[in-house]
Amino acid sequence: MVEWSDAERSAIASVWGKLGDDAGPQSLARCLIVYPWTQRYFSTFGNLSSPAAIMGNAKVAAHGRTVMGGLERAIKNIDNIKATYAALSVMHSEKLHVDPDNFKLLSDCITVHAAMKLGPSVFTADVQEAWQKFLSVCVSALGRQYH
Amino acid sequence: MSLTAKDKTVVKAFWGKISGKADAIGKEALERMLIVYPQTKIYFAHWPDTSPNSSNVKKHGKTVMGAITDAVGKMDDLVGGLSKLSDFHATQLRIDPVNFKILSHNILVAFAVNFPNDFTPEVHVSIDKFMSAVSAALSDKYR
Repeated sequence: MVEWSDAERSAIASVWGKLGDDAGPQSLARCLIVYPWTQRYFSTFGNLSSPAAIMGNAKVAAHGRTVMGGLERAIKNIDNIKATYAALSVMHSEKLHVDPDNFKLLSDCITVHAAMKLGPSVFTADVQEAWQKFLSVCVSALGRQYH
Repeated sequence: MSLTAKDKTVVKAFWGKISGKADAIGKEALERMLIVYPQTKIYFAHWPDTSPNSSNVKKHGKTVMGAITDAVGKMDDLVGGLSKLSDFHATQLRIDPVNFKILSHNILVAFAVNFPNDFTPEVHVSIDKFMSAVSAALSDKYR
């Protein structure tokens, strides 16, 4: 069982509350640009031929919001992310066939977005630690059902 | 994932923007690394103090960032240019190369948090590639 201190719960809730509505679209677009091999999972999304195309792509934006919805479920069930994500993990493995290494790539882009949005006085090293711990629990839970 | 001409241009331009804050970035990246990835503290067991704002961390952040800034000028041959530094890391410091990735990540976070308007996805990808290339050059002499 993952243990969360009061300080960690507070930091994670604080980051979540400040991320903004565009966090999902921005983070997913960044992932597709910074790690272009991740585009392999989005062949039906239309024009991904340039950073500008990716940033302006409506399907990328919509999917970014879907991903953020998934993260919201983890925030709301922070003491049981493993069980909350069990079906999602099976789906990513059996249906979507996503290489689980990619979860970390997207989570790093979400962290970069949080850093840019919150600034150095809010996104301190302690806040970064709590936030990255939360994301790594999500990443681990998403990869759990793979075999 | 080799550095294209475009990557080199982007890296040089971004470094021009951050050059005034390079020392502070190095300090912040090191502080973040020591807190977010506490296992990295084992390499600094000889320091009395690994806490943020300690003089060791400040000085070492400056040293590391200075070397990376130096590497910006050696992008055409990083393996050759960083050969002595690679020997040093391999034989004297013996830092597990996985930690180069960890410090690189925290340098990127320090850039993102201090330069949100400049650290666009296009800049991010070129800087990430540059840091990976520096890490590879630093590991070159390990075995």
